[in-house]
Amino acid sequence: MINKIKVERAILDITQEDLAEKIGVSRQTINSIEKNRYVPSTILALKLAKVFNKNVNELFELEGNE
Amino acid sequence: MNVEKILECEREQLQKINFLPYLFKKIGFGLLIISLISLVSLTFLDNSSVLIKNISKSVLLISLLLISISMEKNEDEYTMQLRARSYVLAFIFGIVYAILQPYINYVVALILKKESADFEELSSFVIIWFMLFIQLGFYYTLRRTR
Repeated sequence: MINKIKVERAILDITQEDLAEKIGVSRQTINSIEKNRYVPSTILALKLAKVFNKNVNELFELEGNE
Repeated sequence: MNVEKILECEREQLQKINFLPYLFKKIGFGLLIISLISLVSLTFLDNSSVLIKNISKSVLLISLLLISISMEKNEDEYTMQLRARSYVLAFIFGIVYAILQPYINYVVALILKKESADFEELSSFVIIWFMLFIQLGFYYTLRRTR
């Protein structure tokens, strides 16, 4: 699973800390999501999509044989 | 209450695990220090009471359990996932340890004494202590490297 969180965050010009605060998680969790070390739950994915005003499909993408 | 409602209630309760507030982690660390000091001092006392030693061991286990089941300051779904993973690892390592360690102790005793050695099962304290220690070790390692 790859995601465009970092790109979208750069467009909105917000820090990992700001984003973490908006969706109620820790900054480390945002960092892990951006580095594809952690795949968030549907609820968290929807919260992220709401912050960036995008569909979940636009933020997250399956890769390879997933 | 009919059977369906009871099943629904059970399902909800089993799926929802409520961990203790962060304050209990501090209490756990406090009790851990007290129990460690107590156990270390008891080893230097010749006429130490077995009861006091057992109470100190129980306090040690309770303190580790409190640390284990208390939430972090910034608990979220990722830390919950790491916690779950650490419990799985501790469970597996605990079983392997409980099975293998008595044999390892026996073989080591045979080699060192070069005569007949007694085969001794591990005590429940040692197994529980090991599992809690492994769980906390894995959890904090996973958290640090996330």
